[in-house]
Amino acid sequence: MSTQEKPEEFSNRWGIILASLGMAIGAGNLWRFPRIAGEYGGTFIILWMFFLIVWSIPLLMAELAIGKYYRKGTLGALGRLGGKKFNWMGIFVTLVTMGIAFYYSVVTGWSFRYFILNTQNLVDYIFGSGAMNQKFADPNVNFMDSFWASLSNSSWQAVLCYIFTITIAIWVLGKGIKQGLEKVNKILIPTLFILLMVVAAFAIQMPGGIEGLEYLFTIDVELFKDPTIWIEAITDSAWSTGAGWGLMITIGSFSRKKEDVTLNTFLGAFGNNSAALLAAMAILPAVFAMAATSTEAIDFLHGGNTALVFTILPQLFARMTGGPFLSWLFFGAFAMAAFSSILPMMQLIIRNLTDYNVSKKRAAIITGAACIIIGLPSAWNLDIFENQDWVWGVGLLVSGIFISFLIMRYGPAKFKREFIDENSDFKVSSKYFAGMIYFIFFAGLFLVYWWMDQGYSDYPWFDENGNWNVIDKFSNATIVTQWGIALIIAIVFNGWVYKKFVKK
Amino acid sequence: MSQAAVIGMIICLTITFGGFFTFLMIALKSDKDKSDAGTEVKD
Repeated sequence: MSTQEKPEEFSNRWGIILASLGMAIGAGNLWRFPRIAGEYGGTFIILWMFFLIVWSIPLLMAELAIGKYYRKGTLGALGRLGGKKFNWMGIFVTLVTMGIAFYYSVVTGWSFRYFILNTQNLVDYIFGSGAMNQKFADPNVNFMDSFWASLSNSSWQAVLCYIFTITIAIWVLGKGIKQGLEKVNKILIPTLFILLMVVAAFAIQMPGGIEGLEYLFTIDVELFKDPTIWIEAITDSAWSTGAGWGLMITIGSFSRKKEDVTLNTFLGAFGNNSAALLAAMAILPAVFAMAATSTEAIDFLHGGNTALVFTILPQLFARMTGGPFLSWLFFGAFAMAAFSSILPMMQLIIRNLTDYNVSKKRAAIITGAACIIIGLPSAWNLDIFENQDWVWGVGLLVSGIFISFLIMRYGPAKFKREFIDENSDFKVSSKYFAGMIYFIFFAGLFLVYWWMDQGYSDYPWFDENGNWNVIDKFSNATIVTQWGIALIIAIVFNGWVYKKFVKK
Repeated sequence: MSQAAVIGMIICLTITFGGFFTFLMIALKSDKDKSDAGTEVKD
């Protein structure tokens, strides 16, 4: 425990916007959105933009306002909003995002390892024999498949890369908001946009690249009748923007009092979607240009997030002239996106620790150590990683439900007047905000039900022997068990957290 | 590219990038207005 430090703030609105962009633009923008958008085309993009307005922006706006108003981390701020009776909801939201931070830190390690691999390949391509690139491209060698299989399972390389990236994150965050997070985001976010634009410009010009754009943008009106696209669109918007994670509460807690909550939220949210669309305009033309046929390109998109980015794209890039350079740029962007997202996740934990009077340097070290230790199983075993991604990914929807519930209880119109509108030159109507908060609550309940009803596991609740199927990575039993543990912790520590983080 | 894809592209890009640049312009204008009015307070 240390003495009280001077409260930190972002320098200006751009510090907040870059932080919210860094938070939102992550691996999902580069490996999930292009995949889904390529599958459903322009129909999906229109619905995804619709749900940005309907789901993500109201929730992000509310979170930013809560953080700015109470100037505390998630535990203190949501506890103040909910009172002692509902303080456990804030604890649950915090635990879910911590769960994500622990496994997501592994993604930053992988992205860093791929960036190194692509740097080695580029150097060999320019100054050496280019044999490495030939190995990447040869379908008979299957180098990328083997590389990914060894990196994602029982790999000390993965663990070392992951520890290295966490150490860098500790160093950045230990410097504080202005000198750490704000300075790094000023470099990362503009560079990320530029890299994506360069890759997109190259990919579109490749023969066959335009076909990728054709798939991406064609609006099929008939598809609007398919409920799956609506659900994919709302879920992708929730996951991609980080709405309901409590990260905007953390960013808001460092906001100056005079900041415009509404405008900053709209700018950050549209910026996130622009980055995702830019990524899709880079990846889809590249996939379509380099695949032998359109059918093969679509099969690649169905391969899943990690398969697309870590095995298919490097192989495809290797087959084209100048591909190693493009691949290097792409993995540079990917590493930046992943790193810029882990920073606010770790900052969420650090902010709560500093609210408990731990010094920011010590808080950064404790957070980093927790990420390394608790995230280790996910770094070691891909099944554990996928399980954590599934459990806490769906858990985010529950976090969104809890935050909207707390606002409904407070009164959405009153909340908007007191929390959001103060210092906002740009305002939205109270009816819109209130309507969307109620919508988020009920739509969130439906979404949790829908995702759990998808039947990704053959035995969602009990295995063939009738035992509780907690071991299955995609079962409902594993979701309910891990959420149950988080809820028990939240309820058991409700009073203590309220006393230490809220009342103080 | 087919006509349907071109129309789709115009719609999607206008909504996404158009929205982003619109809010970016509003934010820049708001900062400039505050700066001109001398209300920018150094922290």
